Amino acid sequence: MQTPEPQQRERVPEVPAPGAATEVDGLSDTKSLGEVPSPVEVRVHADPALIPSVRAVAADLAARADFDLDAVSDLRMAVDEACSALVPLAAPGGQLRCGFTVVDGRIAVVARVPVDAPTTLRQDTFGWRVLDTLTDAAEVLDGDPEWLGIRLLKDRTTA
Amino acid sequence: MSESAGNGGREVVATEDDFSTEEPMGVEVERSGPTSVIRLSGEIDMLTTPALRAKVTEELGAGLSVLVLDMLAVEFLGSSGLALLVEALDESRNRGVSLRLVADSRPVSRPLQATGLTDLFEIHSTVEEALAA
Repeated sequence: MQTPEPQQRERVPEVPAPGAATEVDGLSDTKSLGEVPSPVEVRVHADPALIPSVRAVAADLAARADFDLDAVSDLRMAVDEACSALVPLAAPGGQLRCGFTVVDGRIAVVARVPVDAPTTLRQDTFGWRVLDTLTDAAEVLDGDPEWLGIRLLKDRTTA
Repeated sequence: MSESAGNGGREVVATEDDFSTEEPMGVEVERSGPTSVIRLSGEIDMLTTPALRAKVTEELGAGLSVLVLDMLAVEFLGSSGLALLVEALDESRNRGVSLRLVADSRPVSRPLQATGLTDLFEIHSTVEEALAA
């Protein structure tokens, strides 16, 4: 009896090296971007018309976590931008999934959509520059061939 | 059948209309002579920006000397809206139109400030002030 080589049995997608967001969103332990261990997750059809609901949840969580008003505004906008960038790339009929983790005055966001083929996201766009500016960390998650994601970290204060 | 159920429960059940009657964004154009004021309200995002772009392009091509974008009633400004403002600014310069923003609340001023765009624009706190400038 032989068991298959571990690397054949289970392909572990490359998730980003532990960064500032890892301790908050626990993503380094996650093997697939489809399921992440976020305490709060919003799942909607990957439809631009539903993005306002997702960004509203982000703003609500931030307000309840005592984010300052500018930080709430920034997070709402960053989540809007992340979702707006991902939704057009989603496989037909796919879900936009957006997980939120609130820890120690910070919110980590993992937004992702299923993709038909491994793909990544351009980071030379105006939208990405905005996303990067509005958050304390912004990262494209393209290590899972079936999902494309964006991970954000935002601190409670903007000062 | 009791009276309360007489409408088939309509009074208590939200229909699709309840959610869709509110326009996510409003655009009203008021032109007077060489001046045009576009009054925006609601949320300016990926979904609503194309309609707004069409209006702004139309006004910028109308041979005006002043275009005022009244954003006092805007509740959300996403990056597509910011991009549109930058495009409009470029286009207004090409056409010799003076573009003036009216904004004094966080939903507009914070995105402009956070992205370092505030100083690019001529920003006023009331429409009257923008028109008189």
